[in-house]
Amino acid sequence: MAAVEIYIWDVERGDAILVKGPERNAVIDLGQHANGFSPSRHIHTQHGIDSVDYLVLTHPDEDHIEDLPEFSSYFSPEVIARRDEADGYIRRRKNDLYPDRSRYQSVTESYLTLTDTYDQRATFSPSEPSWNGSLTFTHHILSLEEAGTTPIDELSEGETVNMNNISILTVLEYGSFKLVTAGDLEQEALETLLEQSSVRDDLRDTNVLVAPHHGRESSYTPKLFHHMTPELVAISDAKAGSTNASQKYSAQATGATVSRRSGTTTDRNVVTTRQDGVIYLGIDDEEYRIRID
Amino acid sequence: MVSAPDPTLDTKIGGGPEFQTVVPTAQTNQHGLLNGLQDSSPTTSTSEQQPQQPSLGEVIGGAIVLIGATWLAGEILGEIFGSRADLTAVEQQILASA
Repeated sequence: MAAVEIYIWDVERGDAILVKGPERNAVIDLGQHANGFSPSRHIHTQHGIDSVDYLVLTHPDEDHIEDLPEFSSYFSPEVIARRDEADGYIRRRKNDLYPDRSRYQSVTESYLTLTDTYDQRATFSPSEPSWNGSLTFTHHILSLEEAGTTPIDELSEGETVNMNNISILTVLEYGSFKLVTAGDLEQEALETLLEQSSVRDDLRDTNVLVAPHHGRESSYTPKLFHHMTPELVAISDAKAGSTNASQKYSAQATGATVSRRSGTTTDRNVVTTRQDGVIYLGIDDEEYRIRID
Repeated sequence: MVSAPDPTLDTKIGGGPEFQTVVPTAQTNQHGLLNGLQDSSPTTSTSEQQPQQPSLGEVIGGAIVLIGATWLAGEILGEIFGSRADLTAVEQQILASA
């Protein structure tokens, strides 16, 4: 078993990533598959994991938090990362915009309960190597103003707000391995983030990029690749559609050897949950392996 | 650096439940590199079974025990590491504990 194991699951258009660290476990986003696949239930029942210590919710759009009711029934993470500025928008969606959508009501109720409960200063910093055997998470965000997010008191009746650009960007590092995931950040927001020297520095030497916003064209920017040359781009999405930028991501990646369940290997620049199923990364100090279905 | 897969290790890497058809999986064709770029109809399936949920009584009983354990752990950790983690500016904005 590798020191660090990462599972990127097929939750259709959403995101759900498990990071099994040397000492503790983390989850980034909690999408769900329409066929009933629950990442949280799977973590608990199939992986036999009783404790997830760190939960990152990149942003509270439904496809990133849909499994939260199930997650909360199994796990109580010690620390969560979330944009609490989003709570007002979520309450507005829940109470005013979608009062008749029962599933949305239960999902957002779980989200708001969680963020209300987590109101104390974090007990550990995930960017500190000692929290999890030298596995670190470094985060970057834009302010609401930088993200171009309309203040809640300026929204007109019935108007919803785009929360993609308040997504939390995460840089996960272990040894010489680096993975970057950016929620649903869109092109302009990504380019604004890249104006920060700390972001540019952290992106350097990225091995694997989880394409922002499910690999959509609206979140592709060539400027990202001025600061990283990933070996592999992973896309979590249900259908390619006309807005998918897989070809562009493929042109930016250098390629990696990927093994299949059948035992065969192949060189790939891009892997997708829609076609490859679960994407597994096994990471040790100086090397990593990739496996798909 | 990505390593070349070792066939003898292949059953060990990612050999967990993911690759035993308990999660949504996808069938692929055999078109090599561009395979991931030419999407076919999704063919997902799952056979995962519903887990046994603990009863409410068990959860409540467990919670009572955990409250005491958390308080005790907090006291001990506070003595060892100090009562607060050193957080970056971004972490101060997005991280929280219960």
